[in-house]
Amino acid sequence: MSETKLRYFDTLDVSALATTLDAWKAVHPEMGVLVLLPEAEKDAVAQLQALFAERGIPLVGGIFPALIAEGVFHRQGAWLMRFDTMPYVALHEGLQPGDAGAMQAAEAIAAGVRPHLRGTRQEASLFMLVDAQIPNISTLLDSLYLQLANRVHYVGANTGSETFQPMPCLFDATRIVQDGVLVMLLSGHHGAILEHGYCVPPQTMNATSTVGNRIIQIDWRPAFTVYQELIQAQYGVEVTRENFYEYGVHFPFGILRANHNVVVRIPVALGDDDSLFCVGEVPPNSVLALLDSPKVDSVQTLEALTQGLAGLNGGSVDEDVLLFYCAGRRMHLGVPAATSEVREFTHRTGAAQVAGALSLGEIGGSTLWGYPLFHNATLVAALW
Amino acid sequence: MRQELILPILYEMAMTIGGEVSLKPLLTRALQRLLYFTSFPAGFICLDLPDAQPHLEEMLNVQFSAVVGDFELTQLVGQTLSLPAALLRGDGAREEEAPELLAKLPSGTTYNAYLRLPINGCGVIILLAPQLPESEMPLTQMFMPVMSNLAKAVRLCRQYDTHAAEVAAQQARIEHSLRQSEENLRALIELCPIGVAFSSDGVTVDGNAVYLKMFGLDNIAEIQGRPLLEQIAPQCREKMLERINKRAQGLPVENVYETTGLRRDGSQFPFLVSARRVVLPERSLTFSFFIDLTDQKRTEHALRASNEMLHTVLENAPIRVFWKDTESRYLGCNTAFARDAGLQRPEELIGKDDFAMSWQNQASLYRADDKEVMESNISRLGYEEPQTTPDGHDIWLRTSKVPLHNSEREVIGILGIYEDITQQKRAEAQIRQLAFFDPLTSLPNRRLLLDRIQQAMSVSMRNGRHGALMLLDLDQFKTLNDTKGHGVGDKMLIEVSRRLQSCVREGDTVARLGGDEFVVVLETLSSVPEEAEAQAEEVAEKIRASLSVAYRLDDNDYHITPSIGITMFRGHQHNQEDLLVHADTAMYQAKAGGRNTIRFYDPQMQAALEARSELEKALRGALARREFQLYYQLQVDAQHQPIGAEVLLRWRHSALGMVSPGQFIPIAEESGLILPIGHWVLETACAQLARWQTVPRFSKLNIAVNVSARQFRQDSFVNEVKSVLFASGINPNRLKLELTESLVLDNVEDTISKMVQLKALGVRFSMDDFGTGYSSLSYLKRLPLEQIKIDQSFVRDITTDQNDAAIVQTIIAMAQSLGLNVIAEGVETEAQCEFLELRGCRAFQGYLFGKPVPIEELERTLSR
Repeated sequence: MSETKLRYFDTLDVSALATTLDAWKAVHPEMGVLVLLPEAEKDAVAQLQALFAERGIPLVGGIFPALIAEGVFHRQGAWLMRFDTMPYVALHEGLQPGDAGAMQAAEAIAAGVRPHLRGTRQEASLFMLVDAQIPNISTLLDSLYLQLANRVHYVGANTGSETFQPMPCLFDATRIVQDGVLVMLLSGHHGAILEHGYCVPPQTMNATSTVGNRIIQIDWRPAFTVYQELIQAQYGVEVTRENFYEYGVHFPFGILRANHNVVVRIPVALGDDDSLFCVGEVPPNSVLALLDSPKVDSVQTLEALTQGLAGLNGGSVDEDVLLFYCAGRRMHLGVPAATSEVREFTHRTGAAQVAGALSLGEIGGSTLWGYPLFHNATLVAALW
Repeated sequence: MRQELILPILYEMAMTIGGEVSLKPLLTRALQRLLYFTSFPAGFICLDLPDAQPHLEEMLNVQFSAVVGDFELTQLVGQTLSLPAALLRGDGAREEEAPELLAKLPSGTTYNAYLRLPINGCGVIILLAPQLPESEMPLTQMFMPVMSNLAKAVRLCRQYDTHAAEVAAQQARIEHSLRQSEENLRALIELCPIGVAFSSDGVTVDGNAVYLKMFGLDNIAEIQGRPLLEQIAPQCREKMLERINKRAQGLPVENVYETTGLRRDGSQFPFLVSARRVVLPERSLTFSFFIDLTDQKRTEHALRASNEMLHTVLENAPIRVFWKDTESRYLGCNTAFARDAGLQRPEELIGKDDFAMSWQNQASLYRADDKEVMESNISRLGYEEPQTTPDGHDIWLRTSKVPLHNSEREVIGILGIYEDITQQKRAEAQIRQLAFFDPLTSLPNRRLLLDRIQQAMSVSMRNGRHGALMLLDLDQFKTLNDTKGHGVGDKMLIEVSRRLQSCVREGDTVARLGGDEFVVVLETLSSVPEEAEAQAEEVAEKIRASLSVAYRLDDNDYHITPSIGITMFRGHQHNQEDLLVHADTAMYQAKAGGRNTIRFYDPQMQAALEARSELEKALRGALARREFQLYYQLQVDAQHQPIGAEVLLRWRHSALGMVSPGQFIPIAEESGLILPIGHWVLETACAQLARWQTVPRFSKLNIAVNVSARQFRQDSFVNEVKSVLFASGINPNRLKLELTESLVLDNVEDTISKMVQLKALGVRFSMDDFGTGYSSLSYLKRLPLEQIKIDQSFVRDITTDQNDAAIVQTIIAMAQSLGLNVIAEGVETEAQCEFLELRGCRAFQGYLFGKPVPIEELERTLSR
């Protein structure tokens, strides 16, 4: 690329932002920008909206726990990701819970996208930033797949606060919303590669009672009780209601599929009835396994990602890359290991720039044209 | 995946399949879950494969019943496609390398692997992947029980869908019908000429165009979802809110009421509401009808004002008003009538009839009157009738009844008005009594006598029989009166009267002329003169004998005898005065004959009759010979200042000299000569007035002209007066026409008509010789008179005759009550004048102020 489309600002200096925008606008009058902001800069949204409004530049963006730039995690600054021509964008807000809410949102999203897919067979990706507080993301993806099937690749990540406190975390030129989903249709885009590297232990169990992202019973017993016993038995760690939030991220569930794929579900909250709340839904009767941190194989993960990206680009990666790194994964590995993994990823891909954010859940298929799934603890990478 | 994981997957699939009741979601969900479990990215289901078993190389015409995961294939759901039999037919299979077979799918995606799962004879599921997803499970075998369940579920869901489709169709029909009904209702509501609106617990839901117009709105959206109270005037909102709350709580509340609306422009108007709450399954609605009462209230107000005005008129009019239905039941009356009926309020009368009132004795009479008016449909006006009051008194009413009509002109009752004329009737009776009867003896006086004589003459004329007139006086009565006092004299006269009456038949007349003079008129004597005289003599003798019997007065016996003069008559050979003169002559003959005797009149008056005939001849040429002359007798006011003069006709014959009007005017009347003479009088008087108009000191004077009956009765009389007035150019106000009572009473309606026409010109009227006729006050009120003239016969003895004094006093009082001026004629003395003045008479005429004189002399007098 003769000119970078991605630019990281380590501080939100309005004049610097304005200078860049004005320069971009001069060359690309039809441009639009996707902005990634760290949680600490959430109060800058209004300032950004004013800045973009003054220049008549379309704006969308999301707020994440942290940004990834130059191989490290940043709690300040902003990524400006330019589109020479702003693609189709829609910010849906106020999504309703439950199956009905998910289907309703999927129909609305598909209705907006479908006209832009007509009359062309060009590849496209449906890029989605979703408020992590939405409890029915998996159902939303299921419903979307019924509507759009393999016509698009599904790529995305969850926005919000690392503390999982609700907050408005998606915005456009005039609004900043919560319980929303930001949709962008990226034409000519080849999708993303998603990997987590977790290995599946031999012992499995059944989620005999679930509602959305809440596991009520495992093997017909209270979920937390089973969880405690498993960790105690497999790792000799005693998990209590008090230290649950400390250990949960290190002992995620994996939902096993017939092709050995594992969908990671990190338990993040404990119900009074000993039910477990995860990031992402757990379908009823899912086959679960308790995943183990030592089993995370970073090298294998990075290799898979790198090869996958190269595959998407005909064998080499010399462009900018977008990377979402799961906050739970970083918490599990620790910041140094996570930083190391990001740096290694940057090095291996040979990308011009790796721009990204720490995410609260990731969207993608583990195979090409694969069924879109909502994951935890993964890395999602896409050429930009 | 390990074998022990199969059961949860099958369980989940069974749950998925069992959780669906409709075919499309069943197939989609089942396919989706299969993709999830197997990691195949796409798949489709074809149901109802052709029965025949074709070669595997052939293509089958099938339909995609469900597609998941392949965007292009999803667009073909429901369409008939041609797909390879080798893909669709056969047992469960899991092929890793079948690119050629899968290339026949109409998809843009390249698939190399597929998983075929037959659905137990009702179709097949094909899962597609670019490369076969790994799995350790025997997927085809593992999903066989699922496919078995799916096959059953397909059949059940199809049944359900069929049923649901029927239900949906039924529902659609019902909804269509409902929509149609709603549209019809809506159309009806819009056509409704009154306002219609729906609300839900005080919030406006909908309203028709009339409703919007009523409240000055353009569009229902302006008030939809807004509080109903916004359309209510502020002062009525509290009450309205109370109704809304009660209605919302299902409490009893008035459904029809009036209140005040508030238009968008801020104006207020009254309207009527009829509201009904209807509880529907989804919510409760209040249906309300609105009628703008602005016009009605305006009409009511106007009607009320009109009614109040009518009520005020009815209550303040000095008459009694009532109205009845066709059964003569009272429907209403004014308070004056109610009081007459002994009731406190008019309402108490409603529904009663005359038989229930104090005047039940007259009820039949009233009922007959009502019936006559209603049946004839002709008003009956101003008739007199008696009535008995609640306290038992008899009174007289002057009543008018008119038929009442409805809008179809049908008679629906009568309207009646009346006034109490009892006082008038009493005054009339009193005047009549005073005028025609002697107060002492209650016998007819001279006036009535003359009338009776006239009647007797008429009767005689008709039956050819003779009558007799006796004049008698009491011998030496003056001596008795002077010596024993008037008291004894009066008692004597009363007893004489009684005895006289006992001596004659019913129908004969006994009258007192005055003093001790009495007259007896006998009728229907024999047609043979001698027999009639004998009969008269017999009665006279009876009288003489009766009166000659001693009188026991104040314990003393008195004796007295009569002298009786008799004159016989038959028809109208003689007038009354003549007869009286004859009788008088005979009576003096009787007195001359020694008193207590009877004498018949000796008819030696032929020469006098011939002389009368000669006079008539002379009269015929008098006008041409300019022998008539007008004399003027001054009339003065209360200050004795001249106000005008009465013209009196004088005839100066070249040979006879001055002829008395008493002589020639009756002749002129009888002969018709009075018409040209009367015209000359009128013309001459008006010419005099015209001259006076040019002289300032005379210009205010009036001239009174006597009009004879014959003259007045002419059809051309009004035009004659008009032409004289026009020709003379005088102010008609200066001309006063004097009419006699007899003239007026002869034909009242004609008299009124002519008087009204002349009064319209300005001419004024005075009634001459008032008190000598039968004047009815009821007629008098209707005449446009300005003045009545008290006859000189009353004035003459006013200071000495109590009878005449009483008459004059009554006449003056009555005239004042009728608003008429009074002038007294024949005033000759200061005493008479003073007497009249004291009783309210303010105009005079008589010798005291001037004799009738020629105009030159009058003008000289006036100029002094």
